[in-house]
Amino acid sequence: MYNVTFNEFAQKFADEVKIDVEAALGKSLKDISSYDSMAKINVSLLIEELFEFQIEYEVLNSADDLQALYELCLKG
Amino acid sequence: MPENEILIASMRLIDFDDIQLLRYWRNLDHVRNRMIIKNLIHRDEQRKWFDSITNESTRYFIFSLGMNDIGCANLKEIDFYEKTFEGGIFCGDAQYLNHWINIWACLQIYDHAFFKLKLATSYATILIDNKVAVNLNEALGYEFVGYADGDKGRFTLTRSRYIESTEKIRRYLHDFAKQPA
Repeated sequence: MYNVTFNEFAQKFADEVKIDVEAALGKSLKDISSYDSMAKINVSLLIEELFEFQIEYEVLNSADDLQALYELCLKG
Repeated sequence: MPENEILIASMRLIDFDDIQLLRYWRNLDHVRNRMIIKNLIHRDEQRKWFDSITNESTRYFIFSLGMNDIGCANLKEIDFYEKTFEGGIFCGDAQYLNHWINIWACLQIYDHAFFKLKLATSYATILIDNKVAVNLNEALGYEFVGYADGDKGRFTLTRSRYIESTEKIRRYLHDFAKQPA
């Protein structure tokens, strides 16, 4: 089990995507305009750093919101 | 698409058969509205434009994923004496907006400019409110050098900054952007 809490993950995600963490919570990822090609790559690299696996692009894209993405990361 | 199919990312120099596809993409709202020059391009203008870019100072490429043409990446204003150029990219197929293929294509053209053509510095002028382009340029290593005409920013990128800034991205993309042998 990784020692990354949801709040920590959300904050780091927000930093990568350059938005306030509040703006990322409870919002569909596809509605975050700055979650673009480069941001997705940076988030993939962040996940690799935090959870020690490389997330596939299709898996990354399958997450509807931040909570769902966090749960995917915990599963590895 | 069949499950587990590996799509190959590729890039080709444009030829005359591609110009109407380029015009179609360039006139789509999601492309045109992010351009500094936003006018619609007509069929006869595109032919004239194609004639004007078949020279030593430009390189226009179409990038694809599998059999799908996705967008256009280009090098312009190539100056072999000063070793400078301008790079540009747009995603024509809106289904692939925010897809890694766009970043892969970017790296391909900058690699082409810096390593194959041995150029040293890139310049870019982009609309400041085009956050996607500003973020992309920052990730590539561009540095802001000043404003132009109020609503545009001028940026510059050296080869060393590019190499340093894209190291992680390059490693990440290398793992899954399969290229033709």
